[in-house]
Amino acid sequence: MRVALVLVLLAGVAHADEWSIDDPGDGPTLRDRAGATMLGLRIGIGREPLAGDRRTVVTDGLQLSAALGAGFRVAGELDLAFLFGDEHAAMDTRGFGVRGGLALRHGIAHTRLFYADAEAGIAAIVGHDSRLGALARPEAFAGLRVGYDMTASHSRSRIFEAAFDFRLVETADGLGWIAGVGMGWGS
Amino acid sequence: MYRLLVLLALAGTAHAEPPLAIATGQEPERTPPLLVGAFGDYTHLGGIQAGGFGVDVELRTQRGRWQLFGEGAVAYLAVGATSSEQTGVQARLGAGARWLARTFGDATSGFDLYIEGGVGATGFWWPTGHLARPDATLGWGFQVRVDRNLSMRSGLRVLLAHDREGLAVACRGCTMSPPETIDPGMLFVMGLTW
Repeated sequence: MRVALVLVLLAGVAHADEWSIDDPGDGPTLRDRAGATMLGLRIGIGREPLAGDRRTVVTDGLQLSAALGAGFRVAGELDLAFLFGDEHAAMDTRGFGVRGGLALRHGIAHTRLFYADAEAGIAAIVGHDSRLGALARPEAFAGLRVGYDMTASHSRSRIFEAAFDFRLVETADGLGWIAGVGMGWGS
Repeated sequence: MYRLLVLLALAGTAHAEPPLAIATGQEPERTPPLLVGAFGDYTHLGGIQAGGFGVDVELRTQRGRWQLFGEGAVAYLAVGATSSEQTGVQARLGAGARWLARTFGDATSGFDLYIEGGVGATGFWWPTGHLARPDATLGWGFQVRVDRNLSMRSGLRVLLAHDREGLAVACRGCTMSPPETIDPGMLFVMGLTW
């Protein structure tokens, strides 16, 4: 009996230091707590106009976001952006640049696990294009971001989120779109 | 007898338990030093799209949250990417550093965000020519660590290389553009460590 009691006690101690995913509560998660920061990555693909042409845009980026409170988050985005021309063009048109952006997000729905954010922001791609030469293309965007988040005890990053997003992108040459998938780690 | 059993239980638990450093977040998130996986790239040869898929092997060492790695890949080469006008082989050797930036989990298992960069050289062999050139890479990705003996990693990097004219590439119908002084391509690696 004494052995059983000791083993039960040890088992409890043993699990106390291992990381485990917390049961999601009904209220806002740690991700929405003011000051919570998230670092993550995002891959996007879309179609956007550029100087009378339409390009397939692929972005591979990092995002750093912080909760401001009242359901708002601000995110800085740094992407590697590839702009591929259509294959039927006689010339292989392609561009590459670094995209920097700033997005403001606001939670519009939240369940125990899933969330939806509305987001809007501004960005610019600066780089080089095979047809245009130097490339400096500003944009404004707005969209919807749907994902899930979870928190864990005894984890180095207490928060993890994964999200899918869809954005309409307004440029000087017209309207385009981009869809992305990303993940974030936060504390 | 009871005392012996308790001591045995304590001894067993003592070895099964991770050291205190893990719980306090000091122990690095180690994965096995060998990765074997899939390799893919997209680049240009003389302004013509080129790339292919193959096998990648990586050996690495780790200090804290930093990893130093050496990698080698052998892959199929299609010149004229979509039309695959010419095909051949490419081989790449590289070395770099990787920073485990974030971890959802602990040293034993978890889900990591990493950022990496490196340099390398790639040799291309196709029916009418060959080329060797240096490159540099920068990218990020994630890894899933099941335990200390098994993990999966996936990442995408920008592949920067000097492209030039005058390469012996016969490619009728290929779309092409003037070679870029620094050609931005892509390099993808996904693999298992165990």
